[in-house]
Amino acid sequence: MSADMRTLRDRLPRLGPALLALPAVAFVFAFFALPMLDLFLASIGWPDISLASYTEFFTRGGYLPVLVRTVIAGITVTVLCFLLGYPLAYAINMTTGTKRTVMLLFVIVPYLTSLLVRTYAWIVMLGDGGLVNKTMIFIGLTDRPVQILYTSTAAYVGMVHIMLPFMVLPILSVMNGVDKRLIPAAKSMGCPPFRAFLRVFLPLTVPGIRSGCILVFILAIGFYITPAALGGLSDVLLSELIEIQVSQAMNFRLAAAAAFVLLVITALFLLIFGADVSSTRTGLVGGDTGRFSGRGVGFRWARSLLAPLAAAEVMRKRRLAQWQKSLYRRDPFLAFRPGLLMTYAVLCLGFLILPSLVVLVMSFSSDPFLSFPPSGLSMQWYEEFFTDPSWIAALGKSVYVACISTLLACGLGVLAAYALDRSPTLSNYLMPLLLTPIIVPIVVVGVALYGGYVDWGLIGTDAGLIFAHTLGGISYIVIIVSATLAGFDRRLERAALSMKAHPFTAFRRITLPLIQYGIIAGAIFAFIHSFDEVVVATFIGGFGEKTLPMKMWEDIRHEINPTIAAVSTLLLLVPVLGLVGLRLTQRRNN
Amino acid sequence: MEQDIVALTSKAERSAVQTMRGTAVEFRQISKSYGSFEALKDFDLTIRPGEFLTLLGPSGSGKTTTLMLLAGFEFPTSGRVMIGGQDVSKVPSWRRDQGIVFQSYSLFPHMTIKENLAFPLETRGIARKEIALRTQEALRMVKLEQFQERFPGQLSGGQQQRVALARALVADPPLLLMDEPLGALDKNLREEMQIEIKHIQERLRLTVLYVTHDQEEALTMSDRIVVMNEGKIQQVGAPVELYERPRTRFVAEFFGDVNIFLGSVEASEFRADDESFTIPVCTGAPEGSACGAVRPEKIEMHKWGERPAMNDSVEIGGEVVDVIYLGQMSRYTVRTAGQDVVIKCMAAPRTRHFLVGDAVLLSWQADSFVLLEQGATT
Ligand SMILES: Nc1ncnc2c1ncn2[C@@H]1O[C@H](COP(=O)(O)OP(=O)(O)OP(=O)(O)O)[C@@H](O)[C@H]1O
Ligand SMILES: [Mg+2]
Repeated sequence: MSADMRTLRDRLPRLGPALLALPAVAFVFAFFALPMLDLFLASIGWPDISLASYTEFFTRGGYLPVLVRTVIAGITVTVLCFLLGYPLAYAINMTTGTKRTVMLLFVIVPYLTSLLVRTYAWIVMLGDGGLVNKTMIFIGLTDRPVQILYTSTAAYVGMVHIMLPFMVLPILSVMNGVDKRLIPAAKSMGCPPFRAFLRVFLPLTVPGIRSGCILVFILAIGFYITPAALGGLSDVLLSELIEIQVSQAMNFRLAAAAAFVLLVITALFLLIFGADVSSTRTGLVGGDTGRFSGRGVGFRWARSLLAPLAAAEVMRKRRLAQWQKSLYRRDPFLAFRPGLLMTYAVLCLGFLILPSLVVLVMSFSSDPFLSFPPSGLSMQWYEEFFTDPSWIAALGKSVYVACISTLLACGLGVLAAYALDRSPTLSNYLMPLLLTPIIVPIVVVGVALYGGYVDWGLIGTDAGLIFAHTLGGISYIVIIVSATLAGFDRRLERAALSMKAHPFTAFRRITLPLIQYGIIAGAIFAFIHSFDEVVVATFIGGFGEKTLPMKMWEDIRHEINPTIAAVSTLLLLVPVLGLVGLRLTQRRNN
Repeated sequence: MEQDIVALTSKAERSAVQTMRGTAVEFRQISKSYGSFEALKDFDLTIRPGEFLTLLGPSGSGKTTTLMLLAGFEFPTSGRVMIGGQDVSKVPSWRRDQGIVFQSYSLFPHMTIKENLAFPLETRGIARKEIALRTQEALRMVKLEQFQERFPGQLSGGQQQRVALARALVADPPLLLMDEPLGALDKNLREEMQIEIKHIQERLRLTVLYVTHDQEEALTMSDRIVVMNEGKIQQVGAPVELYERPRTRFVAEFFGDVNIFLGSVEASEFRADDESFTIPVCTGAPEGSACGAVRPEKIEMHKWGERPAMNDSVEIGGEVVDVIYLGQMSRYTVRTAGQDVVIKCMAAPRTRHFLVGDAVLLSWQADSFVLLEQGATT
């Protein structure tokens, strides 16, 4: 046999994974990386390269302060979320059984709930006739409604509310893995409880804190919907500025430059804080995390950044360590005041869930305007929703786009995840690429896709929307399925092959059933991602038919119509159904 | 054993016994590299039909690699793998016909025991009725009928191991590969399973390639043992041969305690470098520096002054410096004029119990002394 043949045959198995990953990589490259490149070229005025737009951005009045304000807002939200979220995660981690599941649901349901719904909820809560003002008047703090809505306070309240789960979930997932026996061990060495917490527990949860902070900061500086809806005119953030440049000022070059500035800040932040997210430290954290240590760096890096994964994991791992948990449960560091911590946790969870409840109540209001509590009950807003063809059309379009993009993302994503799992090298290079669509600030994605899709005639088409949403869907599926595959024992596949099973049969009968949970979880996230997505849709939706979130967003901005409360209530069903679906597959798997 | 034979009632199994013979396996001039690292070099080995052959060697010596080549999960860089006279060097695993028991058992966690056993039959396109029949037989063979509806996670380690064995055998493959199948079991269970596996192999006359790094296991189960080191075969032979007549120092030392003496051969006589003894060796032995080995249990030990019971070829005086009680045996270290010598004696009546400081006389017979090959020593 010739040497050439030999090298070729040696290489083929290594090429196999690359071939499986190719469709997803090509897709992300074509529909995301190229537009991003386009955006960059636009920002430097290609082909006559100049930094004019950047100079304009940094020198012309108004832009720099917005940038500074955006970064400060990002930091503030991150710090607030950490301060609120860490004790909450700690309290949940301390709890066991049904109580814990309920507490978790109170974090995860808001996390999965549409951003628009939650933003709308705060409009309802903070308005002049809203719950907050009514309460303040009731207890005599003030005699007239105070202006809260459309101030930066409202923007911050809304942002913190929306970001809190992104902080809690990664921290919780790391806390979950911390060996509970370490604390009694520390105490046995004469360490008082609070010191044991500071010296042992806190350092071990740093990876969780870090990934929570990165997530929140990145999302916060790219935040668009919530500050735009709740904040005042004087607190415009960079994302809003970019949107205005594109949609009103038609200054795409400047928007591109601003988007790149935002991207660079994100990248710097990732570089500084994300670089070594899961090195030696995570090795210390229990079995769950250790299991992944063999996989590529890219995977570990990405893994620690993604709240959905944490959510899926936190939901899943419950049964195993239950007895262990109860063994050490009565051992909180803050032993002097466990009651205080729990009260705090309940307040926090109330903060998370209350807005949705208020929206739910409002949706049955018989009043013609937003006022809490409603003076009577009626079904009028549901009637309005179901009889208005524009709402129904929007719903139909959303479902259609979400279904197709989920299917596409599933196909591409599962193959890619399978391929990356085979090859750590591939994983190192491709995982970051496949995940950028959900790491890059959403407003940047919006501008980039807008620029790219204009050239291809995809603006205002279903195809454009589907492609855009498939990008994020691929990211979610790749990350969740990869995590599942990391827990999958590849030797089982080998065993099947040794029993004369064709590789495809082995995949279908052994691998697929065993990673099914991950695929379904990934598909649910991909569906919700598409179904809720509004920023990119607004950019590339053009004058085409609107999706449900697009129509809601328009209505929220223009007329605060209680029909939205009815829509929101219906949308609350989505995460609930998603969780039920997840539970069912999990039960079947057990 | 009798029970097992009684269990052989069905037609399928009886016909299996009558017609099935394990296949022959041949490795021809195999080498296998991972990148620039050569995991196997000049590997030549024939496994006879129906033979129980064990690969034995330290960690990283290439045992699993050899097994993977035969299983079709890895392919040789050069050389050929032949099964039943056919070149299968490039045939992937799923087109070969063999049963494999993996160290981790690799039972499919989402299938019941019965479904696990049915899997290899389904992939061979066997009719449903016969599948039911044969899974029942296999279950009976490993005495696990009552567990068939359970999932692997609900069985003990030993039971899982049995299921893995039954699953590897249910499709009547002519070749069975096992990679440290008993590694995860405790000592008693391991011994029990060793006997069970051996019985099944003898009954079905399977060709078995077995991997272990436990020399005792290799000695009790194998027809022949292949000792490997650093990707090379050190010696192939029956257990007795390897234990009693190791060819190299590596093999001698691999099977437990051994006393190694450095010296030289001159005129069919081995002379220890420390001048403590000379011993006749076979006439063909090459002259020059050499080394030889004596197993500790082949050495007789007497109180100084007592006459040796037999007329042994070598007698050395010394002093006991260490005694370790091992249960059945005691292990003594005796300091002689030359090197320290290790001796193992059966725990004997009180009178013959030696203490540290006792002056003793050591003796052994000429045929207990094995002259080792030079060069391949480590
Ligand atoms: N896929 C691989 N890539 C690179 N090197 C490998 C690979 N598989 C095995 N090796 C190397 O080949 C050598 C032989 O490995 P092998 O697994 O055959 O050893 P072994 O005898 O089974 O050891 P053990 O008793 O520890 O199981 C080792 O040095 C190992 O590091
Ligand atoms: Mg091995």
